[in-house]
Amino acid sequence: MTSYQPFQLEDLYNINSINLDPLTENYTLEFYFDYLIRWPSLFFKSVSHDTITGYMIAKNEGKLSKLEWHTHISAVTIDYRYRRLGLASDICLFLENIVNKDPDNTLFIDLFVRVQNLLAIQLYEKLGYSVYRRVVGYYGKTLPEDRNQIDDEIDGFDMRKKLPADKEGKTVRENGHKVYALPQEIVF
Amino acid sequence: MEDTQIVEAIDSRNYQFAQSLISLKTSKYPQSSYYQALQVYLYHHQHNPTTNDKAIKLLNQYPTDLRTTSLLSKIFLERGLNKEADAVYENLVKKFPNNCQPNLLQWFENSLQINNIRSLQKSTFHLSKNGDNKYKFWAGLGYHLLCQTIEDEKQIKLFTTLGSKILPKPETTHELYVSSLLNDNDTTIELIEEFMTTKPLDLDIKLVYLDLISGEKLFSYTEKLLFDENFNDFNTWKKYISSSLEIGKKRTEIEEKILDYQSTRKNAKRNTSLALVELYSSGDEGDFTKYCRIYYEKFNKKLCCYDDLKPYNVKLTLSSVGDEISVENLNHSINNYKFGEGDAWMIYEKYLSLTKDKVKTDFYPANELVIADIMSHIETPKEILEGIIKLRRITIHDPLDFRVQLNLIKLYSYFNMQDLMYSSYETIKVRMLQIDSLGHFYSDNLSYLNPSKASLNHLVANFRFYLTCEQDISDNLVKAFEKGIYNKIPNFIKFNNRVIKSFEYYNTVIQIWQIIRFCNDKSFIGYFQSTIKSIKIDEIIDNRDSSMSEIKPSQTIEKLKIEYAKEHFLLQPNEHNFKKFNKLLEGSKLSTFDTWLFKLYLNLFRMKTKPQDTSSKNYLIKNLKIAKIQWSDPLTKDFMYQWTSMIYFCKTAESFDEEISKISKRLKTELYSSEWKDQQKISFNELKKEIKQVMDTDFVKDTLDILSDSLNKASYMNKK
Ligand SMILES: CC(C)(COP(=O)(O)OP(=O)(O)OC[C@H]1O[C@@H](n2cnc3c(N)ncnc32)[C@H](O)[C@@H]1OP(=O)(O)O)[C@@H](O)C(=O)NCCC(=O)NCCS
Repeated sequence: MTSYQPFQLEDLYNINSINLDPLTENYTLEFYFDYLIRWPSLFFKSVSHDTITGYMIAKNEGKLSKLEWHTHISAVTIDYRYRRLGLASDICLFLENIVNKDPDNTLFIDLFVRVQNLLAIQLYEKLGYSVYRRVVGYYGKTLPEDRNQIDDEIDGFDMRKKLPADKEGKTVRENGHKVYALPQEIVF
Repeated sequence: MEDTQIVEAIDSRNYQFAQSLISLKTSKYPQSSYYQALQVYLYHHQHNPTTNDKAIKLLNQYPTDLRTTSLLSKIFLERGLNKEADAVYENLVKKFPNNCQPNLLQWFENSLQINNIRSLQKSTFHLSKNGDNKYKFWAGLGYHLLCQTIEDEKQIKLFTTLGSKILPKPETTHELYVSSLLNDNDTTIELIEEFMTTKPLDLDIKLVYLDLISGEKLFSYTEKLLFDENFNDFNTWKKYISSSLEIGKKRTEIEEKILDYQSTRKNAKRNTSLALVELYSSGDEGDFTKYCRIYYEKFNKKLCCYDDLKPYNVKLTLSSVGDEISVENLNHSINNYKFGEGDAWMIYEKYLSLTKDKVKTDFYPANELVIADIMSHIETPKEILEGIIKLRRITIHDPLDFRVQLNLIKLYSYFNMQDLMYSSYETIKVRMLQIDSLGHFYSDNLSYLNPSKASLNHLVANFRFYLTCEQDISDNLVKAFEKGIYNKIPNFIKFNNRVIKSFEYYNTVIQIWQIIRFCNDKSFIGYFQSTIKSIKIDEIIDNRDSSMSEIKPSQTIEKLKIEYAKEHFLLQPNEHNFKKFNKLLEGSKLSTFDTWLFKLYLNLFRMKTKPQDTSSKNYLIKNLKIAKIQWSDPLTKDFMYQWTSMIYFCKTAESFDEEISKISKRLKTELYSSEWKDQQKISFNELKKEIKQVMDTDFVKDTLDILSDSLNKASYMNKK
């Protein structure tokens, strides 16, 4: 079972078993501060009998006039003992339920995922996300020049899900995995 | 010439140069309060006895220059004159009540920087008088934070009332949060309900509201959240159940509602299934067992099943696990095991073939069971060695499982296998704040167990983390106030307290200092000498996470305090520091060896403070002998700890009295002598033979070779 609570800075002391996961990033304190201060309602945790079982870190950014006002998922991670319960899905829906109305009312939610992370891609597809573009060399060490030089090892998908504020569905597209972009072209 | 040059000259003890610059400036700008403040700052550094008088004289001139007020309050604070530090600003409030806002903001920021909540409250209170609503909420929060630091109920009540009176009507959820901290429950409920009519609540306020309301109100609000707003939250289910019962609804009625909800929403199964258990946990036993059983049947193939049901203390008839080798059946076996059925190693071995298909970053869930088994049998060196072999075998399939690596570090540390400890520690990538909670896995007693340049660098890197941390916290506290993110601030302050008073921080500093002395390292000596001197330990907060292993860290708060008192005496050998050291030793609960060791120090120190008393010297002459040391088993890290401790002691004693110095040097030579060299090896070889009798495979042989090698590398004989 799961309850949701706002993330507090001290919680960082209680997420060792989550953050020791090899695929979960440990950020600088400045990073956590930044999200807590600028987007406090989009940084929250899931809890089972007082144990933190997962958390979501997200932010809102972009201009509405440019159809870029959106929510970006920066990190979502679940304790290994609480996986395959639909918790990551539920956390994503919880976020959606916050930002799909006032005061946030963003046009879409997006995130970046490695092309090879089929597991996560499946998770997001089940939630209604689709690939908006393939960012060539997004996870590479150097910036690529050629947008057609795709490489599964280092390419990422920018996945999006449109929200009710995007009434006409202008922020998503079909066959996005065939649209190649370079990391330097990505503003958001 | 820049004025910063003057400060730099003072800070780097270039006093003559600083004085010449100040004189030049003062003659050019005789009215400037800043140069007068710099003059006092110089006096302060030079320990000039007129410093206080000069500082107070300047204070009484009501300086308003921001640089002056900042420096003057800093001087007062460093001299322990906290009242005067506040007076720098309070005087201005009295004299120029409408004209000192920039100074007040400076006072406010400084108070956050030095974590002084009393000054924070005062500065925000004075700021609030300028009419800006923002400052009124700052002041309210200031009162609340002050209440967190005091125990007197009457005072708390008074400050809470004063705080609530300052607050205007809240316009944001964050302001509403401040109001909820200071107002009584009924007022808060009213404020929230009024707010709700025009704006949505955020999660913080929803939770505050849920905690305050009851009865009919709680029932309809939880019903709305769960049934209309998709707020799929277990605590809300609990409140829905309790309020339904409170207003007289029958359990069967509530049961029906939950079942109905469950049948229509795909994602809510776990919460609603447990809500049914919760519903009958205080009701009919038969129904309670029925729903526990249903829960178990639904979720026994998920790892969380046991943990979800554990608080309900239910006795279940377990279902048998299918034959197929699958993740589901493995999880089912693990749950059954935790409920009391099955054998950890049989489960581990049975499903091991599943590890072939898993990705490297996923963990084999049965590891948890066998780790617990291994760690519950580690009484003897033989069992520990067996434990290491078994854990290393697990890493073949799961090289990245942090639970295995953390426990390996603990077992390696028993024999002080330093390089293997480090390699495991590197595998789990302890980063940033984890240094504070998990750093001890590697750095526990490192200055004794591996006093080397590499250890020094490791500890200095950890120390740097604390330096950036301090800056980050105070900068962001100011930002949070500026942006009005009040519901994060109380926890930021708590977090700040934990970091600046952290055990690991104090321990890192002292260990750096010890290695610097052991290795005669000149690179950081000046810096850490003054750091050690300036550290005054009143309260230590232990943030070390010891939930990851059965073996707890060896360094204790008590011993750390004694070590600081010891170093303080060595840096400033006076009666005050002697008494402090002596007081800490009295009534302390140290190991036999440490009790003896610190008695040596006590006698050594008494020779300094009471040179006429010969008993201390006689005690040292009698005891400073290799035969007097009660060594632990040479196989263990305790032995290395004792060896290094004695070397530290000898090095310290060498600089005391001539006769004691001679004895110390002799003892040190004996400690380094080759007689000791082979003891650990001989014991380990004996142990290896014993192990080979019970576990004789190539894997075991290879592992033992790796372990011997590590032991040799960490041998105390290599620490010249
Ligand atoms: C990825 C992660 C967040 C998934 O969390 P979760 O709570 O287990 O995910 P869910 O239970 O909501 O899974 C939803 C769907 O995703 C897919 N999925 C998730 N984990 C999977 C796995 N280990 N293997 C295969 N599919 C998986 C499945 O399709 C699943 O649906 P199903 O269980 O009905 O088959 C979690 O594994 C994790 O924290 N990993 C480490 C950090 C990370 O990689 N974050 C993602 C970065 S984009």
